[in-house]
Amino acid sequence: MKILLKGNYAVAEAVRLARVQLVAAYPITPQTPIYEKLSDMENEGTLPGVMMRTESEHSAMAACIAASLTGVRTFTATASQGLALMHEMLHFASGNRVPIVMCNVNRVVAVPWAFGSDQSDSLSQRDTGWLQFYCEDAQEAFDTVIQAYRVAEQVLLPVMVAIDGFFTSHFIEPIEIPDQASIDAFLPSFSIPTRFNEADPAYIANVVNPEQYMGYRQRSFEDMEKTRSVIQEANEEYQRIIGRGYGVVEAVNTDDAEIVLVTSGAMTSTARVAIQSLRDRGLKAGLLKMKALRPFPTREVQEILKNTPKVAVIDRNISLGKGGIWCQELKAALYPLDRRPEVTGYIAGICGADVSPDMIEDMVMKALEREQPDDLPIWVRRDQ
Amino acid sequence: MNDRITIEDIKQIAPFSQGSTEIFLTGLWSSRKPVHIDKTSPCRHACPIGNDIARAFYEASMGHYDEALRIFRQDNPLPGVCGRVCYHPCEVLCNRKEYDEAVNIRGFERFLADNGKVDIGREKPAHLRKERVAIIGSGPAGLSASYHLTRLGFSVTIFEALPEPGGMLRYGIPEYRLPKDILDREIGYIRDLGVEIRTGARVGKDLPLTDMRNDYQALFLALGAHGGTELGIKGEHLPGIMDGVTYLRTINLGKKVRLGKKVAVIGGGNTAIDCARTARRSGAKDITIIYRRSRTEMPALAEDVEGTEKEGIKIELLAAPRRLISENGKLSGIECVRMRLGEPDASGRPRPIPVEGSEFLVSVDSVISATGQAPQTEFLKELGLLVDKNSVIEISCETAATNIEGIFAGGDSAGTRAFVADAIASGKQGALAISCYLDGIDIKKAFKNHQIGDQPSFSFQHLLDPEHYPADLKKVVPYNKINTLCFPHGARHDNPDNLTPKEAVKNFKEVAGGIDPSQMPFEIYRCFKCGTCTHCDLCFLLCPDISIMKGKDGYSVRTDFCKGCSQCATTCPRNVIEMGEGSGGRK
Repeated sequence: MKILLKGNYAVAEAVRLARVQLVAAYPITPQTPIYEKLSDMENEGTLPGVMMRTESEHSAMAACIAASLTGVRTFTATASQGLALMHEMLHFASGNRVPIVMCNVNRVVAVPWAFGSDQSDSLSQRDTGWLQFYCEDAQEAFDTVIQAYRVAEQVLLPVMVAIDGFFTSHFIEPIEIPDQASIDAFLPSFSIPTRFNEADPAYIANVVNPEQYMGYRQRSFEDMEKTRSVIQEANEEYQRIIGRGYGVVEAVNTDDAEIVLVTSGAMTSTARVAIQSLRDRGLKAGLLKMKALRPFPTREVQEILKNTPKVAVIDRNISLGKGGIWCQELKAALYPLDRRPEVTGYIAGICGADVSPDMIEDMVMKALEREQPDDLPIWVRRDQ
Repeated sequence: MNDRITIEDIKQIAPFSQGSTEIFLTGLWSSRKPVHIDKTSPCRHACPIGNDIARAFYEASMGHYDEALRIFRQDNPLPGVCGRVCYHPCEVLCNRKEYDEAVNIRGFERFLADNGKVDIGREKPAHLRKERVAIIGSGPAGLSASYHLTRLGFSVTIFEALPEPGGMLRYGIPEYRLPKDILDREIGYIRDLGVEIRTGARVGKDLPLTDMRNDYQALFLALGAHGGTELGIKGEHLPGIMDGVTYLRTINLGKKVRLGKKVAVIGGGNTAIDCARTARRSGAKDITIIYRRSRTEMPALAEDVEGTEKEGIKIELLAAPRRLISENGKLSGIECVRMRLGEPDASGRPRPIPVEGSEFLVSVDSVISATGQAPQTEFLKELGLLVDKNSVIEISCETAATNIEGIFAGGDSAGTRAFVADAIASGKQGALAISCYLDGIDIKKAFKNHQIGDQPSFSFQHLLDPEHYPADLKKVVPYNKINTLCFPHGARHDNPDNLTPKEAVKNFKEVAGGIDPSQMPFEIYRCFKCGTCTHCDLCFLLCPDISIMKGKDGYSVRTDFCKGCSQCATTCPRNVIEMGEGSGGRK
């Protein structure tokens, strides 16, 4: 049975069903409804764990790390400035190998001060050692949070689940919430040993020498590589028990495509409509949805685009001095191919600006017509 | 699935230690360390006597009122006097004034003197000296010199010409400003300390100075200035005209002075104000103070001028007497001329210039002239002592020494500023000079050692025990070094008036009251305690490296771990901590 829920509440439901033992968070728009919903659950006695109300996101993450080290399942949620403030602790989480799951509700980063959806907040945490998944809608957000715990706890690395602020976080959609028994069947109870023993004290984050440091980093890198099969296995298991699943990428009509449009997050739903419209008009257009940023699905992308002549990437983010971040990642992944597609990068929808199906169709058509694409992105703005 | 993860597995992938981080001496990588060092407050720097005001406030803030009083009494034997009549330059430079209002320091000093206990036995010197010092005059300068010399171990005798000790404090300042019992009590402590006071002893007349020179190894002349100065106008010698100091002395000796109904007082200083208010209390109805400059230039304290007006006394500003007029050989009026203010004169105040043709008449029965006072020093000439044309004994400022070896002078008779606090300071300076003279020490060097900032004052406590002195006397805390975030705003607690002006003029009861004991803690809390560590723990609590340690007598810095971030120095509410080069810690 499906119920109507906004994305933020769907995430809160996932946290409840995952039997999270400690939630440490600080409210921030557009994440606040997650915080509020979890508080409500705690108040009603339906949250299995406890809410810890910290004075900042930095402390929220520190609290999650400490709790995780004592062997409990933890969750936090934030957005934008909150994630930026957490930055230092994100490295502590991955370096300490604690399986925290966090939901980041993508919101533009100041300055200027604004609130709309924009992936720059989480994409700029790319190198903190966290797994990152971008979700298209509320149902995927719910399912991904559940899957994230299983992956995180198996590989001992933290996972960030990103949803688009206001689009996914606040839109009310019909979603299906599995029962507790199904979730329990998929997600076993937390059983990471505590690293704190009062009788035999030790501490973490100690100083090491360069050789030791490189050893830990290489080990973490290798473990991140191992997550690829763990992610796949978890998704297959979820598919089996719950009946839904998602790949780290999703290809739609790409086999014969003259051009493939690459998107991520909530914009993908709009792109599906635009691509269908182009197909209906006889254009061989395909769609590639990116879900995983880390680990980056290099092989999957190469396999899908190895015969594609042209690619258009829409980025709802911007890295000054280069371009859209997904576009850069994609280009790097495609470099080893013998016949590399010509890639056109678009910057659109920043700060939650509207990206309509006709705008997407227009972008695809323009990319198709281009002879030699520039490395620089094309800015697509309604007011121009 | 993940039940196979053990702590040993985790140790392979994440750093984990059972050692101690103490081996990482991260503090060795910085060269700046915090140093806790108490400094000098601007109020102390402004005080002629050098009272350690901030430290007294700190002691009082912990409820140690007797100790706070003792701190005042280290430098000043007359806190009950100064707590009433001082012109409080401390409050003028109080850092709190920049924030809201100056702390009521004078009111605090009075509160301590009125309510605190004095254990004079604690102040007695450990070692007595064989040298004897004679002090001529028992005013604030003489009393102060005797107190400090006695504490240094010398045997001191004061010779006072008048029947009772106190000089101008007794015979110049009226009872309604300084009750005699307050003065008696503080002089009593000086006697208890071991000072001998011989009253009614007129040196020069009854006791030849030359004899005293044989009996005493040093002399300190603190004669005061008990003679009036002449107005220098026609009619000055008519009956019904008296100089201010003589008037006040006569009244304070318990005698009556017939003034009539209409009285004019010439002058704008404290003596003029005291004369006018005394005359008011003695029955004169119509009193006018005539002053040649404007209100701003009046040397009297603003609060006293205000009190005078409340008591119905007129103040005729920008007016100067030209001549005194008589009718039938009896004083009947003063012809005055209007003045205007010109360029500043030698005193720095605007020069008053007569406006020709503006003469006007003030009708009077008597005139009190309070335009200045002079020492009576003729008898000193027998010794060959140098005295200037105004009868002021010539001394070297820094050494208080006259032209004759072994004779020193201070207070009004040596040209010190005519305020009580300055006279007390001058006596203290004289004590240091005499002590150095008898020890054969260079006074200039000694003074510099104990000097407060760049002021003519010094710390007596530092003189007694420089090794254990808790503060740097040369570093004065400026307002911008106060962390005002630590202090809430709050209104000043002024001394209340005990009497309404209507009641006040009927008698000589003290007008100003003491601060209520229930209010005093709030005023004590208002004080920033500039430069005095109050052990507030802010440095201890805020240190990000847990490198500030609390000890019994203050804080220490673990320099091996302090990274020199200066959080402590920046946040210290009262500028006790500063960043210094080197190993750091409390010096």
